[in-house]
Amino acid sequence: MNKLQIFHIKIKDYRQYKGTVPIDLMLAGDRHINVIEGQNGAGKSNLLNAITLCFYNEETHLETQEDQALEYEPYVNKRRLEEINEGDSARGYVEITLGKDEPKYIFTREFSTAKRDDGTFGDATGDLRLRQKFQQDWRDVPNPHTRLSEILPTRIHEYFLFDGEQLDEFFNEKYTDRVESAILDVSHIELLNRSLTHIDTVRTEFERSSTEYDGEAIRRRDEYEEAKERLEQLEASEEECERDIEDANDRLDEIDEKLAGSSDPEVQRKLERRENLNGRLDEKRSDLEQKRAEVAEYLVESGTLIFNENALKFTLDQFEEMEDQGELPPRIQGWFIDQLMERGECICGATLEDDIKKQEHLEELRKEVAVITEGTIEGKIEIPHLISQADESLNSLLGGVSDITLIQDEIDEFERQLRDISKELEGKEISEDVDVAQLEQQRSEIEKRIRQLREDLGRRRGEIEQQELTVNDRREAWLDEMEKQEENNVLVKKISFMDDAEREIEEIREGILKQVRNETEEYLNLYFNDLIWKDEPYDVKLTDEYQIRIYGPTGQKKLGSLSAGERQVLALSFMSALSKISGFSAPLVIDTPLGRLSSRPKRLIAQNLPDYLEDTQITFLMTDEEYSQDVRAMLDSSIAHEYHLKYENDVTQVH
Amino acid sequence: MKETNVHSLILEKTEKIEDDGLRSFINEILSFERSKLDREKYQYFKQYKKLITIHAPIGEQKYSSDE
Repeated sequence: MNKLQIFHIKIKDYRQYKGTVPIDLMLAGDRHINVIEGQNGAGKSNLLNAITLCFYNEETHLETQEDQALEYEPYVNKRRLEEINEGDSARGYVEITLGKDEPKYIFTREFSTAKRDDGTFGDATGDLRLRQKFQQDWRDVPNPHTRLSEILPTRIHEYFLFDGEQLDEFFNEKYTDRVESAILDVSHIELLNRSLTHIDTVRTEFERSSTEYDGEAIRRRDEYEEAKERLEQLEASEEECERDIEDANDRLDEIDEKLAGSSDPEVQRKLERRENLNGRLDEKRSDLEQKRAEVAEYLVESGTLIFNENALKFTLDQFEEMEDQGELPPRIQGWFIDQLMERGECICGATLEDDIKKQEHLEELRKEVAVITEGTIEGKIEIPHLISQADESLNSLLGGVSDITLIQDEIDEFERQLRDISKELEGKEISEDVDVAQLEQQRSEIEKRIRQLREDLGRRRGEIEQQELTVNDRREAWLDEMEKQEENNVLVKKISFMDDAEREIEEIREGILKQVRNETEEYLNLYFNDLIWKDEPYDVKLTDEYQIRIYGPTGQKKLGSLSAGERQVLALSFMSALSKISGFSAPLVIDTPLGRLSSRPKRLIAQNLPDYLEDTQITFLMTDEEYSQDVRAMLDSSIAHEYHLKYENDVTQVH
Repeated sequence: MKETNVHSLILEKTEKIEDDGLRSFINEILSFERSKLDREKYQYFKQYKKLITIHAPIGEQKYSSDE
């Protein structure tokens, strides 16, 4: 296997694992799947936690649980803690051996739990330690985090080490941010962003170094600096506006939470209706944005064609008229002139050979005839094609505009309904309940404020766009002035070099984002259709705004209307797509991969997932319900190791 | 892909940059950034300055990208 695999995990006194527990996960030939099966609470999730604790000093499962405070358990096994005195502490560790064909890295992290006098516990973790094999020797590596980040960067580990059951939460509110950051993570966009930021800083330093020069260049530079300063102010104000909107939205969420505490069924119904309307409104707004972008694209692509349609029709009419009048095709054909010139004699009997002027005249006529003939043929074929293209573009454009109007009408209608709900709630006085009327009034005020802030933000962004143009103009004027002075040549060349590097990197960034988005969409489509248990085909789209849209035979299927199982399949498809295209050869560990799924999707996932990731070591942590007879049969030929976790008297045994 | 390499997605695109100096400069700053990817703060100014001096067309050298 060319990819990285976990050879062994060794756990000592971690949570319910008492003593030293080795788990061998090494692949066996083509068999690349390990199954660790156990009932809920048997210690599966803590195996995933042990891995993330060792590598990243965090416990994935607990960090994503809302009620983690209720689940507090010391790091060190409780039975082990019973053996020590109060005031003492006990230690344990997690050790993970990784490599490709043979073990190459051993990562270890120690942890300890202190048993306090008051009976409570205090946990601590030690530093990550890495031993690496150099030929036959194992040696300590001084900076293990750097090596780890090369193998499995912290930012992307959650696409390799994750809890499947929590995946359906992935598509909750603001999921587009999560999708976007996931795509940015696997594209190494951070690398490009850092390069761009650093080029910008270095270039600014270079530009400032020009103060030692004088004359007009300095005046131009001051103007440029002043414009840049104004741009920075506007950007700071944009950020402030965005923060204010975020804060206002947080306050809105708080009020909604309080309103949700109302015991009045009518209030509850209205709140539910509002939530539903808001969800649909968001989708419509995003549809509107997309449609506007499409229409703008039509305009850019075919605007010229549409505006010139009349001219094209006129030209075609002219051709037809000339044909009717016998002017087209030309009366004299090219072959006839060729023959005359070859023969050296005109049809009137005059000799052409000695008459240079006549020869030149014929030569010119031949070229002219060729152009007319070619032009007529091209024009007669091309113009009708262009006219039909213009008609099509115009229809698409008009269709797009009409769609925009329809969407806008729907948005207006949703907003009207939302206003009605708000008014009704503002008039609601219910004794012995939360103060619905007052909360709703506050809510309306905040919504009004958010609308104002959004308008401000829009204006600010417009100003920023304008100011960017001013900055560019002034910069060019300054550089032009600099170029006039011989002594500035080196500096100008360096600055211009950095400008070019910046442009190239920006282009690369755009190209990669587009490519990764397309690939993610492609794999999402493939995986989702294979894994979902419905027979009808689905079209999964990933928009430029990182929204995932699913189109079924009856049109768009809203993400909010998907069942928990369907969302889990979608998220699993997304994670698998990211893992596939990330370029990292990391092993996959999935806790409860089939948790919320019924038997058919379970079978489909068991059947398909191993094939998609055939070069990847996959370790499934499954409940006995997940690891059914069917699933076992599907995976059987790919299984390298199978373990059963048995939990008894606070201790888990691995069999 | 080797774990220490810049992502192949990026390298495929940098390889298409026609100007040798620009391509080498970008590849080298990307490798430098790759080696610091998991660090929040690090010195980069000297490295960038050095690479600009090496690869930018200063003096006799002609720089062709904006021609």
